Amino acid sequence: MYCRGQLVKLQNDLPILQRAGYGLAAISYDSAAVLHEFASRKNITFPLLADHESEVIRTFAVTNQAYAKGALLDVNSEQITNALGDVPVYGVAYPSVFVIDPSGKIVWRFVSEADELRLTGTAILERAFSSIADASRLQLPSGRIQVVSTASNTDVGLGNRLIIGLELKIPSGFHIYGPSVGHDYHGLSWKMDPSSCWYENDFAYPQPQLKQFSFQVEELPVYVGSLRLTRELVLKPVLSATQPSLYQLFEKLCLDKEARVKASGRLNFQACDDRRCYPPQSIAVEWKFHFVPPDSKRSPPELRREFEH
Amino acid sequence: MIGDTAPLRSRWLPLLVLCAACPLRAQTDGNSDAVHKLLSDSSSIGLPAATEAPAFELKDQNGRARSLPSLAGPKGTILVFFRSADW
Repeated sequence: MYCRGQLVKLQNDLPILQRAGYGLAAISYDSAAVLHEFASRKNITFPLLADHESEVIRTFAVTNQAYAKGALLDVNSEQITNALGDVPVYGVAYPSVFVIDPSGKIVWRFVSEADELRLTGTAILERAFSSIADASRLQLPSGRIQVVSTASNTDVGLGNRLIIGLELKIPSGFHIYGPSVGHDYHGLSWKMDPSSCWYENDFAYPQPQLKQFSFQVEELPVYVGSLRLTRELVLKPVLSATQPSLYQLFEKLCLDKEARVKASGRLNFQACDDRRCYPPQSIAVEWKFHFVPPDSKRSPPELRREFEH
Repeated sequence: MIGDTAPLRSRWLPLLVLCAACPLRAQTDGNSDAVHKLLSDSSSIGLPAATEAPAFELKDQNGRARSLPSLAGPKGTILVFFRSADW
């Protein structure tokens, strides 16, 4: 279920990945017939590769070892819906991404044991290469320091891993203080509001430079020029076999009337030039993503994987 | 009496909303270590970076045989392993 959502998102991101110079393909233990049916239904044009015997999954060492031969998907421990029925899962892959250069060398990889959480295509580019592939950019009213909020995607499904960002343009002659500047100054801070809808990954500020000022003995950490802050947001995978009501609760609490999920926070900083500092600023920052509901449609029964004997 | 109900309701409403969110929060909230672990790269699984990608040939959804060189763009290939398009 989370896979189908990921594949559709990858299809949406395909033009960006191709413009960036990359080919895209996705591999699973499904048969070519299952992949054909799904690709036709969802208009997937990039190659979906059928590794029915899990040989390639094994050579890339991403076989989910939790499943022995003959194992069935444990929907309760997997926390996905009970409506699936029995699913043979021996040889299934961990969700993973490998970026391979033209010479055949792996240059970046990401493997997740959290089966429900998936990177989008643009988030792969951002994480692997800090390559800016923003699907949305919004200029915020912010005075001297220009602030643009960015997001790797405009829509989101359960378990999607997105990157949100803030870009600050500090005019020549100005600086803002780094987060570690101490209490005498207003250092840069970006805090997200607590949310029941998202997981928020660890966040690190870019390294500020140290600058000597005439009024201070020690050097102070500052940012000048352009600054880009990014962090990862993950929409909680709320499909649960043991708590089916969780999804209804998610819809009620996390979606607005236009079926959008919001993430909000505050950016605080103070603009200074070499002579004076201007009043500290606190800007409300907000991102809204269109919610793509989970696709619960399985392959036709005659195409499904047979049980191992 | 009637005048009393409105402030009472407005006092209780945030609490009700807070509790309604509890099951969602309980998923793994509150423990940032657990969230960190959940979201991290499982570096012990899968081929490491800087190794050679194994050669392969697999059929795509249209029955066409595909190998790594046939999938690559000028800068290379993004290869995504997923669980299943069926379930």
